[in-house]
Amino acid sequence: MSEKALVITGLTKRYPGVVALDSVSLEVDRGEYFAVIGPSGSGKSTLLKCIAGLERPDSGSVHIFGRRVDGLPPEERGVGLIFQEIYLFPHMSARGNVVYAALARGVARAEDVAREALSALSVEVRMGSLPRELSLGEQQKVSLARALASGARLLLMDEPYGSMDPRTAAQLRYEVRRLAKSLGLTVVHVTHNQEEAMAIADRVAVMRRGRVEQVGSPLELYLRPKSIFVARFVGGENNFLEGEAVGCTGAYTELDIGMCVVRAFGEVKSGRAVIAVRPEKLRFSNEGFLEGRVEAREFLGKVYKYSVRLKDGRTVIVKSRVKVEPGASVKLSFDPYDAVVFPYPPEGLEEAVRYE
Amino acid sequence: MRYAVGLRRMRGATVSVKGLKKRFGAIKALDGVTFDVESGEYFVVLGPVGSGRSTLLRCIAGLERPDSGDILFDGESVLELPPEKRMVGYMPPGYALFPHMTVWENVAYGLWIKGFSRREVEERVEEALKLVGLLHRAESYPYQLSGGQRQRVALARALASGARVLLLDEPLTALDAVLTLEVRREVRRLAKSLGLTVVHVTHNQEEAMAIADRVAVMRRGRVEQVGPPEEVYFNSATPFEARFIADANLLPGRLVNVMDGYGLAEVEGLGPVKVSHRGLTAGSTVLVAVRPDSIRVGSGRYRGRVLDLSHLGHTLRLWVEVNGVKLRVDTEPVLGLKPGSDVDIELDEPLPAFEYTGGEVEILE
Repeated sequence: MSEKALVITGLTKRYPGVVALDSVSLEVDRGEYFAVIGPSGSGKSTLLKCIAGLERPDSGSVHIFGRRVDGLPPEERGVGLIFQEIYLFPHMSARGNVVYAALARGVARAEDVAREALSALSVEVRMGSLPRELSLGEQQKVSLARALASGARLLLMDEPYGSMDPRTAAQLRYEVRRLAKSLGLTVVHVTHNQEEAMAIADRVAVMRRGRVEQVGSPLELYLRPKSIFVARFVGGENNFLEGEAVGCTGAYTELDIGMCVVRAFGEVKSGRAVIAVRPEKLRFSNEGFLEGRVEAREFLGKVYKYSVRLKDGRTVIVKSRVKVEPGASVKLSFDPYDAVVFPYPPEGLEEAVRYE
Repeated sequence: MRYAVGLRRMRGATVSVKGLKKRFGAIKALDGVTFDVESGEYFVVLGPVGSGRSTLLRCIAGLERPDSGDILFDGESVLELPPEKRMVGYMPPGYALFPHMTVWENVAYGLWIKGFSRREVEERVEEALKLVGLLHRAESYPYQLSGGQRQRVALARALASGARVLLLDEPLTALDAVLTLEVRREVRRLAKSLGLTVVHVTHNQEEAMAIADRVAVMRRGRVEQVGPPEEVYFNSATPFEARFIADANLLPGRLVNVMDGYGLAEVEGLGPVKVSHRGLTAGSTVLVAVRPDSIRVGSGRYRGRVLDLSHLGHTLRLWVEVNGVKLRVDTEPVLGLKPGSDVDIELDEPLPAFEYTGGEVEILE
């Protein structure tokens, strides 16, 4: 039983004039909550459709629980599909919708299975309601229950909370993760909302232009991005400082950024380079090597967020629990372990982080 | 040269709300709300759905009539004034722009309705669109604009009639996270540069903290606390607030020892912890509020196990179990933490303790 829930190998899909998937390979473990993120047009929805059987790839293979499925129609792949648009039968109650799915799949004890699925999602009390009498969040839970009742062990979700207000979405995402974990389900969740993916996924694949840029845990993507694009796209704010690589020691690179020489994680032997350092990893310190002046402060609750103008004119964002007055001269430092270095992108920084 | 319309010359009115009550059937939407807003102040009303915050805003706008109490602008009651005479700019949630009208027409519409002359309408719309930096998109339709631009059109609409007071009901909820950060800054800057008084209603604590001069926390038709963001965050007046604003863990315990300045509370699973007791007596049953960001991870006297974690940008939210107690813990993102990890944690004492009067601490509604 050690086989993976999902193995994708060399998946390629071309549309006229565009390569939607460019030899994508991924593996998802059993019971894993796996997210795929990327800007629109990056190929993430095409990928999901190829897994579901709604699109036919030009080449490559898809295995679900050890079984090759890329020749099979969607209904024989044993997956549950959840989309932003919720397709419930409008004239059937919540229970009816779920029971129907179970019956259609020939699940024994369809009524019981449906009730269990609904109660697992705590919509049991509303089993008799018609879809239009339910909130969007409840409707989405019913469609999840329907997928569960049909016996799916792999759930494929494409922007499942896309039509909900942010607060409802933020609650539901944790509920669904908990449920998936408690039932041992495997989830592949596609979204353009990196925040959502980072909050709930065990691992995340970042896609761009039909390719996978990086796969890792949210913490790895956040603190150890493998490309400038990933450093910019995930996790919200990031600081980028340009300079000249002047040498490597161990796993670290020394970088002349003009006002001083700094060290950062990663190896760039020489030439122009860029370091990325997160706002909360910049610290106010008397021994700090970045000198500047606090331009603006915002209180965010847990931390203060500062805009600091460095002596050479660059601006960095700092998040800290330490309170400093706007206008104050400050010195900043960071641990080399908390900063990541990249070779300066030949296409330019702007282009390297472009979402398109 | 044309005579300036003078949106820039308006001075924000002071707003006084006195003992405002409003009932809808059996529901007390407002149950005696009182506060004062200074001229030019950015005032945020923070509360969950159903706390009465929108009703409050609609009363100030003149769209709802309170059952009792008074609302004064610059010391004069506006209760008898219809909405269009109050000189308020009101932005409803979702800010419903007319989809079939251009940006220009959307901003002009309210002025036409109010009977401004053609020339005045032109001048005011132009100035309002200039203020929000969208004059060049005057002929565009809403669907051609980004979320942030639509939001600015709505703001221009609220400003165009020459408001003394800007009333914003959840102005940022329709925007995605990145845009929200930019727009909220811009809204504040604009209001400040115009000297407008703003009353801004939201359920989002971070938004409130980031943008407000002062925050009023509402619950069930009442104002629980008014103060600067840091005071409301760090010195919450009630357990509800601590939970709602800072997502604090509320742990039942018993105050066992009271000294000068602080006390000791016996908390299940955590043993004795130092608390600020606010005059409670020894033996009292208390709720100890532990904000997730007042728990430090790395070393400390408690050994816990990470049940799950969630990466939330600059914070990492952990659910940690310590001696059977589940705690929400916020820490800086660090590599290597995962479900099942053992962590040592420490509490930033003293922790606020509140008298516990029994029952569940209801958070929402």
